[in-house]
Amino acid sequence: MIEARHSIPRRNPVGTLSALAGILAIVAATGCVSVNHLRDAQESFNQAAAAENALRLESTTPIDASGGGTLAAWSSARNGYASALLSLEKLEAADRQRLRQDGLWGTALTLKALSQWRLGHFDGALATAVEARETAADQIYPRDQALLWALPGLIKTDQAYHKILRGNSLPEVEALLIGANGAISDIQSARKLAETDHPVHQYLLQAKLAAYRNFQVALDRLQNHATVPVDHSARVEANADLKELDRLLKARNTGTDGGNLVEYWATLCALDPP
Amino acid sequence: MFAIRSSIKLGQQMRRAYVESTQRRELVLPLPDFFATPDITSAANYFAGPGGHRVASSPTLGALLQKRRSPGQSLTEDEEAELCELHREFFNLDRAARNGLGVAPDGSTLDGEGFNALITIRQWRRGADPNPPVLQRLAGTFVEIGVDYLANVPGALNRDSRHGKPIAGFLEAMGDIRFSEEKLGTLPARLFVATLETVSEQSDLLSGDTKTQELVRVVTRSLSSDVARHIEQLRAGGGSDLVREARLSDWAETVFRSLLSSAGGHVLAHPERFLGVQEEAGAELVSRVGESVLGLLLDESGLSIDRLFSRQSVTRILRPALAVAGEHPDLFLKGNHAGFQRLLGEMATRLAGSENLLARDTVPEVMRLILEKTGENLPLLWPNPGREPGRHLLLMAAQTTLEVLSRPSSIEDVWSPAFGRTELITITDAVLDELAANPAWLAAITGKEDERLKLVLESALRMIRLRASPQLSPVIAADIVRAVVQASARRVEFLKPVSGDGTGDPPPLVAAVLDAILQAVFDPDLGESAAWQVRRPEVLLNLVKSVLAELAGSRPRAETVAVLEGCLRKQLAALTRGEAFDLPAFELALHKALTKKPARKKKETP
Repeated sequence: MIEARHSIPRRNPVGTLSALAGILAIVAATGCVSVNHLRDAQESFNQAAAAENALRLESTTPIDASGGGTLAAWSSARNGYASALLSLEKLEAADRQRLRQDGLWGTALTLKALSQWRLGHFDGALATAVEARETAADQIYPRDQALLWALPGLIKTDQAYHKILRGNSLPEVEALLIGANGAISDIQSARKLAETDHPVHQYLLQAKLAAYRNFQVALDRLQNHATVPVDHSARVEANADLKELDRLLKARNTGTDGGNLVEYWATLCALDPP
Repeated sequence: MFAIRSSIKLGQQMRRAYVESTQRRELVLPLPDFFATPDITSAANYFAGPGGHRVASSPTLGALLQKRRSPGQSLTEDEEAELCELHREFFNLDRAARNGLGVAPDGSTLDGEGFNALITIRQWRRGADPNPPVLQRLAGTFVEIGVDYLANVPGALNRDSRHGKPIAGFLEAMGDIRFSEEKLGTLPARLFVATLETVSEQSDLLSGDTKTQELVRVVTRSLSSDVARHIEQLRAGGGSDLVREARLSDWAETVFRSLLSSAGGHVLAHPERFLGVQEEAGAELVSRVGESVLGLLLDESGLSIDRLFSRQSVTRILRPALAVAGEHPDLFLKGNHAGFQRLLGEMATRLAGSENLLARDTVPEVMRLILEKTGENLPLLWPNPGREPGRHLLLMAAQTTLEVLSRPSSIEDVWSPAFGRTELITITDAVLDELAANPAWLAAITGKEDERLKLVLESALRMIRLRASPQLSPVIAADIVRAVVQASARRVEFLKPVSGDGTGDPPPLVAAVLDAILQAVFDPDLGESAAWQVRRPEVLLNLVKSVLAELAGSRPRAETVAVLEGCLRKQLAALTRGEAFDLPAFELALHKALTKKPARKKKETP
């Protein structure tokens, strides 16, 4: 090899680079299809989630209520999730194998489970989460691992929300939200899997606050405008969660937006400001 | 083999980096369904919790809360709104009293965009990602290739060495690029090889100066970003495909090589102008110029850029473009370089519009001429830079010149050859030279006077086509036209019309003079001895030049043509008799004839 280096001929740059481009194109083309499918799915999911979050924050009515603009915007978000799911479901066996080889199979399954959850395919989402843990345990990275563990809690929050809208009984809703196997407990368990300062806590803490908020509304609507007592364990935990959220945001120097976010949750859930 | 090995290494590493970027990709996470808008439930819980102390001090508040809790009673809509308003009011007062929350001094509230930013979550916490950063992964490979390529240059990969500085500049620029997002494909690898090859071939880039490193860094970063932007636009517009993206990379690499090699020396000689040493990053003129030229090459408005430009011609444009930028940085800074890019586009469009202008590289060469002369006299040549590229005077003149000269001959023309690239450029160069050197003519180019140049060119060409022998070479014909243009620039009297043959516009005097010469020289009845001598190309050219020079030194007017015709008849008659052609003697005779005072009429005796 050393001898060869000394005799590198001066090549025609155009020819050299044509060859280079061709080879790179071949190398890039082989095996990038599966990754591209996953990236497309990530892109669709991100767009859908951003639309849904913005819609939820800026809408004054429940997002699944009937109503022109709101309903249309929610449909658009759903289409994004459906598109992500479709990208992942149409993967051929060879693509799936390639994703495994690339260490992306857990990432793909996590995204699939999240998409199924947002589309209301709760059973499918849970089954996908199990599949991920059983078949791709070594390819589930920190954020995804926490999300997969939190998924049951996220689903329970959704189910409680719809029961509140339908006027179901308070015990049913309470069990889903603050019971021993309720949403808040599930999500808190997931938090234990993530490192202390992992940004996924920002999400999980807000998911817990969302569940608490549903509990607050459930009491109000299903128990004659009752409020959450100051010393209720759920309220105490929510106060602690808000404080922790404030700490994380400050540690990330999120500035005005971070402060506004804490204020939003404090106002919404009537919590003690940190 | 070097290219193959490099490609495989880079391809593998880039693919791996792509996979890793997919693993670590941030996700916007959706919250579960919840009641997201603060409402009366929020208010009631506030006054049952943190705002409880407010109830005692506000009878209205107490009454509303009591009514809400009482069985069989409910608040009206107005009362609910009032309770919510009290919630907002007391919450804000309590917040102000605590001086804790409310970090938004501008009064802003959380919007969807801000909310999503805070809920966009990375795969790994900062510093915990087990995969090497993209730059590190690729840089390692780049260095491997560098080792391969520069193995015979000791110290090549030491970033403080002469060879190491350009590589360091390249890697620094790559550090600013998000490969996973910008989808640059093979471009980084191609630019890296281009850097190595250019540095190896250009000894002046190996000065060991940090300026070289800066040049490579600036050019790499700006072109990569520019290409990424173009790809994004293509994809967003739904018009992207592999061929288009490959074409984009091809041109980007060409501009990159040109900026580093041919233009690099110029940049390094004036780093304070081109590399943003004096001002902020916006003053990186070299990158602005590169972007302008790349923008022209990527034009997709129907112009056949690939037909008009070769790789070499890009360099020929870049050099004068850099010179213009150096002389007139305001054209490029503060976001103005779009105006210069429009000028380039206007040049290519207008010049390529000339008929029969098929010779490749003619357009870029004429653009080079225009740019070179632009730097010398910008305010006069381009009165409204950036806004009216079409009013660039040299562009107008060059367009006129090419339009006239590239017109096909008609059936009645005796001389029918077409001008080739060399002749077109020769004449255009002369036209632009004369215009740039003669502000008076430049001023006259505007508006209606623009027609003068066209008239001179058209009439000179018409005389050649009608009178000259088919054997006259296009090279000599071009030189004759050039002499006509130069004479016209010297004396405005040459532009004045004289009575013509009654068909079309009367020709200018200079064309009438040319007509007299050509008619005499190519007279079919001219004796063989005379024709043998004066139809020789160099003799004919010298005859035209000397006649025009002699007339320019006298007082050119319509009557001059008749004087000239008389001199030519005498001269040719002498040659027919067997005398040798003596140009100085002819010039003297012409001079005497032109300066001869007309004989006074004798006084009539009574």
